[in-house]
Amino acid sequence: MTTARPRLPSYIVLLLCVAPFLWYSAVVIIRGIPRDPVAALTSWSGTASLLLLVASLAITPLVRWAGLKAIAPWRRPLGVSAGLYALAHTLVYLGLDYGWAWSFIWVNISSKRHLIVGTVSMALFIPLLITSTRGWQQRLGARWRKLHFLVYPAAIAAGLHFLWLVKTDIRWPVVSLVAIGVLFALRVRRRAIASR
Amino acid sequence: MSHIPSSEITPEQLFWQRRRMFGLPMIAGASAVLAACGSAAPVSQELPAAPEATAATGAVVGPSDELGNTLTPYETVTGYNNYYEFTTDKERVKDVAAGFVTSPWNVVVDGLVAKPRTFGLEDLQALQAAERIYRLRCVEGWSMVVPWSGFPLHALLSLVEPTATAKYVRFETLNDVTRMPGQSEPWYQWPYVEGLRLDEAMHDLTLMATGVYGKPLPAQNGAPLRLVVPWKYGFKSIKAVVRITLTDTQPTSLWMAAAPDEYGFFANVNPRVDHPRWSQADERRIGELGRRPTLVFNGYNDQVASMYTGMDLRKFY
Repeated sequence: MTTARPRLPSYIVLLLCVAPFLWYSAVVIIRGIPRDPVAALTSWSGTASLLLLVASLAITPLVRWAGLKAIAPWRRPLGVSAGLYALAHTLVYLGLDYGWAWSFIWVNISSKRHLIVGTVSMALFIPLLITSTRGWQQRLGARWRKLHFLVYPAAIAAGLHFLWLVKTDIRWPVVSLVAIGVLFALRVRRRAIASR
Repeated sequence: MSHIPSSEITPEQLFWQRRRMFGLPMIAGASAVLAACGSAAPVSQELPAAPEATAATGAVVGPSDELGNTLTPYETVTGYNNYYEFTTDKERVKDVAAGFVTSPWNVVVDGLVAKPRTFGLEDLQALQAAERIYRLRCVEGWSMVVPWSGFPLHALLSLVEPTATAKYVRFETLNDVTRMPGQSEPWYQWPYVEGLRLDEAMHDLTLMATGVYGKPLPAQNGAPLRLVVPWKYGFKSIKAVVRITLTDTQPTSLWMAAAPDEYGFFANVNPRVDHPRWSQADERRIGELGRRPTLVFNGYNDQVASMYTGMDLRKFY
């Protein structure tokens, strides 16, 4: 590994961020508009968010242990787009699926565990999204890192949201949760080593 | 929206012309004839389709059900459903099921009956025809309004004469992984099994469907023969039926075996009893935005509630 900071064109990470959108657009072009577009949008935005979240969390370990220093700047855009897909997911649920019918929404969100953890995940994401700019990073200084460590509980909550939502085939939720758990453990271990 | 060739559209229009011509009676006309029928006595034949029945009940003859709900379009009814024997992707069942061969097809009717018999499809064609517009409420929280054609299940059961000891009816789907690739999924105990109490099976609303929108049932909708029980969640309405067995013990359905805390034997549509993972108080009609309240017994309360008098529907969900 060279010590000089390698540079990658920034459009690569941009392409990664919009890849889910392009993928599902292709699905619509090839297969036609889904019979239940609301369900499709809900599932697609949720899947995209979780994938990008895992990708974002994987950057730091990849930089540190695989020496892929060039991808270090990808962490923030991947994380921000994960948050934006999650926001779209939430808006589709509230607006398109439930038509802002708060009485129905409240019955569900207040009593069902997958919706409780989903709400927690979104609630944790919102301050992270707002403070994801360089301006906020400078303003918050050392507190920024502490605040953005919340991405781990947010990710675990998102993984549980997925696990508790599926009927019986829990393969993908388990894969997501294991990935998030491993990435979280690596990060905690590194912190522990650093603070020794 | 390129799923259906334009040639497929015409029959739907013809379907409505036919409906107007014959003035088919709606379910309200033949309601509650068999309510609380716990005995195994053969059941009298349903009234034939008669124009005066329509006039008497004031049933709507047009593209809506008796509550004024608009029919779900043919392309949606035949392009979006659950049928795990093919795939768990509701949008893809139609493609995966394409080419599923439904002829020849036999249905074994056995168990506690005086005259066990194997029916070919041609035998079933001779049974009285019925056309019913039913609301379909999936346990997942979505719904449709579907015009089925077929015959009431009691017409079939009366031919085999259930004995006095028969209490339940057990239904079984074809079990053939070479024709139904989804049956390789290890999560479920194939074949798909469903069951009804005998009085539910004999109820006039309980339909064996062989067609939809006046056309033969497509493979993805359960061809050649499926159950339709409109006051229960959709998963009760078992598809591609090959065996109907009268028993004295309550059958264990595939879903009861897979997740007993989530799916009970009765599975009556009930907005007051939540699914463990979501509320059943509301539903989204496919094609609509927003939610509508779910009705007790899916809106068939007047016809079926008497069968459950005295039962704790929270316990017997």
